[in-house]
Order: sequence, then C-alpha cells, then structure tokens
Amino acid sequence: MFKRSALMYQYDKTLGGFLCCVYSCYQYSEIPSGFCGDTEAPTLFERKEIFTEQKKSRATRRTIEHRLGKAGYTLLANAFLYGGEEKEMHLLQFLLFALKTGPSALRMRGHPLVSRVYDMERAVLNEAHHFLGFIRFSDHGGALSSVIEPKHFVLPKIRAHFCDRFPNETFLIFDKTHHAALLHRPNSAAIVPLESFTPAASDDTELLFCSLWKQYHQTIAILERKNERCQNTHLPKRFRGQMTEFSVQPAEPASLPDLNEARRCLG
Amino acid sequence: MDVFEKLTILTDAAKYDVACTSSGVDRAGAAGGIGNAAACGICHSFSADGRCISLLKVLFTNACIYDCKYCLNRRSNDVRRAAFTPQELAQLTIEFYRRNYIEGLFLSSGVFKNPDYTCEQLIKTLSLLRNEYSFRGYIHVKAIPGADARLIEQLGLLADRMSINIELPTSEGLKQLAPDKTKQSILKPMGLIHSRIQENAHDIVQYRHAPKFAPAGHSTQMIVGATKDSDLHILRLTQALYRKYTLKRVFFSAYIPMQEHALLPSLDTKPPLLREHRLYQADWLLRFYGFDAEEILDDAHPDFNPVLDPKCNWAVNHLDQFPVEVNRAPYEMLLRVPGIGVKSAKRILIARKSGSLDFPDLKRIGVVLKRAQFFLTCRGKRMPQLKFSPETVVRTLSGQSFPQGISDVTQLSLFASDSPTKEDMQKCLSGQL
Repeated sequence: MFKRSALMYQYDKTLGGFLCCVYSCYQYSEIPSGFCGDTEAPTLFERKEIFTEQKKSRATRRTIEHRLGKAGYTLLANAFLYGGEEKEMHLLQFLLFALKTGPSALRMRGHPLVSRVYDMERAVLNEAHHFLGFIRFSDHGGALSSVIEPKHFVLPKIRAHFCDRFPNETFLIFDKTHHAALLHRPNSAAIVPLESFTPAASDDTELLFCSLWKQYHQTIAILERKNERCQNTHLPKRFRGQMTEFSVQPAEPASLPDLNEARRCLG
Repeated sequence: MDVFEKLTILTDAAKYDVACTSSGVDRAGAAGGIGNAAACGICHSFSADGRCISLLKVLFTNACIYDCKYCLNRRSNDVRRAAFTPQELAQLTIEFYRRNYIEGLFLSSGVFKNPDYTCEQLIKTLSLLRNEYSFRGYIHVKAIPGADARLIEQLGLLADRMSINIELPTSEGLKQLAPDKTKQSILKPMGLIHSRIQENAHDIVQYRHAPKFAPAGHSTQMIVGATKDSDLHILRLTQALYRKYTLKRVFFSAYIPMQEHALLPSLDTKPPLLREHRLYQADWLLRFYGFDAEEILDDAHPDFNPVLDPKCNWAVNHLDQFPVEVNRAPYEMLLRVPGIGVKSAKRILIARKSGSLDFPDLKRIGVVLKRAQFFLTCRGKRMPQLKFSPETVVRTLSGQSFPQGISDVTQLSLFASDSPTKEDMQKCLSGQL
C-alpha cells in the first residue's frame, strides 16, 4: 500500500530522472507531495533529492514496457513533454493505476486518470504538429535559424521531421521557453541546452525573400471572405510573434527589394 | 517586370482556386535532395480570410486565350498580365521551402498560345524542381484541358496531385458562361488521369520502382452560386465523381461577383459562404461517415437547411432510429450520431472493450454531449435531466438557447428601462419609492 508522504521529490527534470522518481516511489511505497526541479526556489516542504541513475531508469522503463507494452511507454514519454503544472503527479497517478491494472488501462479512455494523460499527450503532439508548419527559418550566410516559444517541449517531436526534410542544410531551432536548441549539420543532429540565442541581422537576399513572402501572404487572401475569427482559431496569436508574415520589424520601405538585386538573385 | 510584381499579379490571379492541401502522400527525404511529404498534410500559415496556406499557389501566367465569363483572366478583361520563367519559379519555390514558408508548389496557368505549349512550360518548371534541385516536397499541378495525352502523362509523373476544374456543375451552365469549354473537354482528361492512376497502382505492385503517377490522387473544384443549381444536384454530381473517377477531393468555391454580366449574379450578391460550408459538411458525410447523397437531400428538400448542419438535419428527421446504446451500437451507427466524429467513434469502440461507458466517460473521450445527448443512451438510460422533445432538440442543435419568439425578453429589472438615477436612489433610501 502506498502512503502519502510530506516529502517533495527533487530531480533533474529529465524523463530518466522521472523514471528514477517512480522507482523510488515503489521502493519506499510512498507518494511524494509534489515534484520540483534542481534549481527551483525552496518551499516549506522538505525535499528528497532523487539522483538520476541509468540502471534505475532502465529498470523502470523495462517494467513499464513489460506491463503496458511499447505503446504504454510511448504515451508516457510523449505526455512527459507536457509543459503544464503538476504533470509529474498526473503521470505518477496514472502509472500507479496502470501498472496495477495492466495493458487494459491504456484502453480506458473514459477513466479520469487515463484520459488526463491522453489529453496531455494530445496537447504535446498537436503543438508539435503546429510547429511543423509554423516554424520560420531565416538564412544567414547559408545557415538557417529559427526561434520558437512553445508551451510544451516539442523539439524531440519535430526533430525527425526537419532532419529528414533538410538533410543538406545546417540549421538551428532555438526553444526560448525551455532554453534548448535543436542543432543540425549534414549527417548529425543534437538537442542541446542553450541559454540564449540572437539571430544575426538579415542581409539583402534574406530581406528580399521576407518581403516576397509577406506580399504573397497578403495577396493570397480574398478580401470578400475576410474572416478574422477563423484565422485566429487556426493560427492562434501566440504563434505569430516568431512568424515572418506577421512580423513588423524590418521597416518595409527601407527593405523593399532593390530591383537589380532581385534580378541577380533570381537569375 | 521584377519578381516582386510578378508574384503579386500571379498570386492575385490564382487566389480563387480553393484547394491548398498538401495531403495524400508520404515521402521521406533523401541525402542530397531537399524536402519530404507527409500524408496528413501540413498547414504553414493562414491568410486573413481564414484559409490555410500550405502551398505556394500561383499561376504560371495569367495570359489566356479563352473567354470564360466568370474568370478574371479571360481574354477580354483588361488586367495586367505577367508570366514567370521556369527558372524563376523553381528558385522562388526552393527559397520559400528552405525557410519553411511552404509545403510545396501549387501550379496552375492560363492558357497561352495553345494548351500544349502551356503544358510544356509547366513540365519544364516541374522537371527543374524535381531533377535539378532534387526537390521531394509536394507538387500539385492543374492539368490543362485540351493538352496532348502524352504531356498530361509527363506532368503526372512529376507531380503528386493533379486536378482539373469542373467549374460549373451543369453543362448548360458551362455553355452559357464558359463557351470555349465543354463537359466533354473537362471529363476526358479527368478520365485519362483516373485510368493512368489505376494502371500505375497495378505497375507498382509488379515493379517496385515503377515511376509513380500522381501518387496523391486527383481532385476537382466547382463554383457554387454562379448558376442556379440546387444543392442536391451538386451533391449528386460530387458523389458520382467520387465513385466514377475515384477523386480524392471535390472542392467548392463560393462565387464572388467580380464583373458585371447579364448572365451572372449581380455585383452586390454576397458570396454564398454558408452554402459552401454546408456542401463541405455534406462532402465529409459522403467520404467518411458512410452517407449517401440521397440520404442527405432529396427531391422534396433539394437545398440545405440553413439552421441545422446536414448530419443533425438527418438525425432530427430520423428520430425513429434513435436513441442508440453507446455500449452496443455498431460503428456505422455511432458515426451517425451528431456530436460523434470518426475519432471519438473509434475511441468508443476501444474504450467499451474494457468496461461499460457512462455519460461522464463519453465527455472525457471527446464526444460533444451538447449535441449527442439526445441520441444516446448509456447502459439503457438517457442522460439525467434531459428534456427531450423534437423542439428542444432542434433548438439546442441549431445553437439557439432561447425558444424563438421570446428571445427578446430581457431579465426582469427593478427599474423600468434606464439605470437608476441619483434621485431614484435618494428616494429609495428615504423611503418615498
């Protein structure tokens, strides 16, 4: 029987670390009162530091896969990328229930504990899918860079898509919310922590394509059908801060393409 | 003329084409190339009219030898004309694609010189993209009616999706408004593409590396509201197209009056957006919900109900088939319940295997109970406190929370109409009121 503990689990906020927390819950038959990261400010709750050990996280993963199947572990890993509060608690409660119930737990979409985790996964995957389209790169001397501000940690979910799409490009996607970046060079890719990133100033060619794209975006709209609500539903405003067509910074008249430059660029 | 101007003119001329989907084909990237394609399609932006921007949708040229009354690019219209060169367009596509602005190219064109010449220009552009730039992104191309079959064949081998616009739902309409086109000239290339896709499916089974012909299928578009056709007529035609030509999509475009003509609706006509919306809803019912055109509309009701969507409308007129029991109903019947979609129906099938479902469970599964409550029972019982009568059903489904007729009733107020004045307050306090 699990007993409620007044302790808070402190861990490194990685999936491996969380699996070690789950390991510890089973080891001491306790449910912590909450979770916190290594760097968070102290609270009144006493903390217990959980060290990330590969042996323990692997064992937990094996147990989950054995009991719930690969699909169960994937669900957990996806939902772990969720950016909301209390996600660890929700996942832990789900795991306690699912490991006891067995694989049929994954089918109980109507169960409150289970459906909550499915909702978390869906939120992550939906946002990741949005970013497949809404990410905007700018070209700085042949290398592409992009900044995003997602709610959830979507980089692991969009990595395969962009690496497959641009195998020859060198690019960087900086996640401003989670201070991490996806780096790609031909034949190698990695997600690394990155405190801050400021893209270099755009050159003339870059400004040309920006203004071409903005012009396209404006022209393609049919004014007789103007429908702001529909646009807002499909493309929420939180995404627009980093999108070329909604940016206002490069003053348009100044950057309006030099016509000779345009001819040169486009052959 | 520079690229900026060309892009403006040729985008403006292409914007009335509705299709901008990039779905239907999965293709992985390859070393040395650029791009891939995802079967679900990816939206890259949304324009001010709320439509998705997935592809760079432009005309190759807006010069045209035809004189279709409804079309902006008709020969007799006085507009600025422009044309890309294949090189310009290919490079523009690649540069937009690299910056992740777009998912690929949607290329259409006016007919200049003759259909064959136009088609050759399109082929040149596409082969530049596919061969020079090793572009593996999505390409949607319009087949040019009247072009040689071999040219259409070449186009299909370079593109992912092909389409030919039907434009008007009846041949009388075509005769009136597009005198240079006939039903035959449109259906012939459509049949050609259809048979080529069928053949190709056979080839691919035999030879794994056989070149793929339009792997994302073909589609068409028709204008709604330029001629006086009933919704039933359009829907029947749509269904026939899906069945006979195995089209992937039929798109509808609400007619926007842009020119004065005795045969066209007057300039102050509003585009029939609601009608277009209803047609898309019905189109979904045909493709994913197992409905038949004759079930959605019939000769007694040839047009859509403006207040109720087609699925609710069908359910309200077939109350004898409801309520259905969530825990036992077959998939096909669940799909017919308003508020249950393909996803939630599938989830119900999975969830009910591990225990019977109740209304709170359904809500968590993602069923829209506001609509579904009238048509379901859980464990043989209706939703608690459900007021069920045909009137309440219609009222709730159409989104009117108050019964019609008394909707102008306001909340009872102590004070007649205006907000209380200072004097009133004083009187109230001093006990005079």
